[in-house]
Amino acid sequence: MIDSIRVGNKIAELRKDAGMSQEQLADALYVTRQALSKWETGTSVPTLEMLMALSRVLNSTFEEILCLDEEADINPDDIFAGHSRKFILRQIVSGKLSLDIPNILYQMSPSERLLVLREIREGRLEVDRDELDSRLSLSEKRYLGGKNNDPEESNQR
Amino acid sequence: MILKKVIKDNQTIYVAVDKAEAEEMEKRGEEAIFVDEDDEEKEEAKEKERSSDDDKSFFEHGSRAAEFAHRFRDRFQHGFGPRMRKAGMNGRFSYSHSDDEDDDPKTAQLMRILPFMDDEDVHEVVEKYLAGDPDFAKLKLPAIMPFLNEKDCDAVFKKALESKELGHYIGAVAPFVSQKALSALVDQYLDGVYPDLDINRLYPFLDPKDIKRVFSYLLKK
Repeated sequence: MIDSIRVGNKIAELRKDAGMSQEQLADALYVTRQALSKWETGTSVPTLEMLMALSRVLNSTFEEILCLDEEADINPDDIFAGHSRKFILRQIVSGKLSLDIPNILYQMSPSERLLVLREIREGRLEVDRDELDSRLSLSEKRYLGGKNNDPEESNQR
Repeated sequence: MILKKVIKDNQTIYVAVDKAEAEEMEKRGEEAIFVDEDDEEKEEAKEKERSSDDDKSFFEHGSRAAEFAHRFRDRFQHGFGPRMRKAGMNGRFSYSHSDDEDDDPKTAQLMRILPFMDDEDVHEVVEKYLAGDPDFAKLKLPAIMPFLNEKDCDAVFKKALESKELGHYIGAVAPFVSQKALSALVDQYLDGVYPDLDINRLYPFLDPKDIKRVFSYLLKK
């Protein structure tokens, strides 16, 4: 998955290196300055056709523009700073980022927390359950409890 | 015509009064009854004239603001309502889904209880959806995806792709789908199985290797 914020920063960086203003680059790509601004702020990402045009105009490669081969630099106190939320979440749930999940959970929205809890519940992410439980809401504990209940407890129910 | 309420012999009767007397009644705090709309409007106009300029501007401003809010809501609903519903965004800006005319009560109820359902029950819902059960045809995929396990997510995604109902919200569903399923989708896309697939909406969620494959394919094309 790509990090739209980092891609935006990279486009702005390459544009400045090429000595172009937003208007000049937008004109060269036949897009509006607003569309280019959205790419640079990470609000949207260029289409694949536009990426090809961008790599040609900025004398770069699409791998470089999309930061495909770069490691993400994450600040544990603000994991989403300078990054796309979806990208960070995907990195966490795929286990590519080794972060202390119980201590970063408070930075996530309810649906983002649920996505991470799903991975924990299905055994794809390992965390300290005691530490995690103290940071969960009642419904989250209930959600997470499903697969970790021991058989005896299940039989008692 | 202005009437005055009078109680005579335990009976309430209404007696006509002139405007001078009505003004006197008003000063005494007695209630005058207007039976003709024209008279009432005139009296209201008089009342407005009597009130101070500050009060007048305050009331005018208040009514204008209320009117603006009303018009804005109408125009917003008229202009953006259908588009928001089409994009599966309805209810995202309100506390309740119940005002959504496309929502059927069963789906809305299911959405509320999904977080508290057992795995087996959720899986049963998914199976019914996949089997094309009409009761679950209106399920909003972006809303249910977080509650499904990866296997079910992949199955639901595949079915939605085949029925071409993902449309605009493919970007909202893709984060819940496994990389394996997305890679398989890229394979099929490269083989021409999904010629109508909007790869521009999907590529941000692909693995770098798959993005490179798609790029090479498009370059060759």
